[in-house]
Amino acid sequence: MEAELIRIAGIGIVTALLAIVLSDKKPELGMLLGLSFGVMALVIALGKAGAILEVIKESIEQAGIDGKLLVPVLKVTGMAYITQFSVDACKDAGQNAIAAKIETVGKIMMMVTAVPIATSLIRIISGIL
Amino acid sequence: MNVDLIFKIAAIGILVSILNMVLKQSNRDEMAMMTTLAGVVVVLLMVVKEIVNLFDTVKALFGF
Repeated sequence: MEAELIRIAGIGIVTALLAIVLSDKKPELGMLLGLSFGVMALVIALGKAGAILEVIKESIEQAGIDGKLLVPVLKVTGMAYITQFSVDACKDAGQNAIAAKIETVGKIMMMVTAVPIATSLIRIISGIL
Repeated sequence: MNVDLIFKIAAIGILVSILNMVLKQSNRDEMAMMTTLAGVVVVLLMVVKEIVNLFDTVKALFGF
């Protein structure tokens, strides 16, 4: 784990230096450089995150909680990652308006995904009352 | 992993800016613009492939 962190940190510093050199003449290529570094770092990090998800799934099964409740939670997490990534890319390119729109769409879609959990909660509460 | 991608992009960027300078010096502005465009498109194709890879990873991981 720490080897990956050190590697990503080093590559990040090198990328930042290259981006400074490049952004002077060609800002659009500097932005693409940053984007490719972000993709690389996230792919490495998410490859490691699979182990955590397995543990979470296992412990939820052991606790006797309905496994279907976990699916929307994971989905929303993934959507948040994708939204944040594209928002950051747009902000890097200086397009704050597009970034804000992507953020809004992401929020709405996450809310749509989360509605079944909210309704099941309401059903449980009304069953108790 | 694909560290070479970053160096590749940086090299293309430096090359394109040098070509751009040379072409502008010899008063071929439209050719300079075309080189810039070609460089951006080539790099964009490389980066888009990686972005698709990232999104597929997220999709597989979080069970979309």
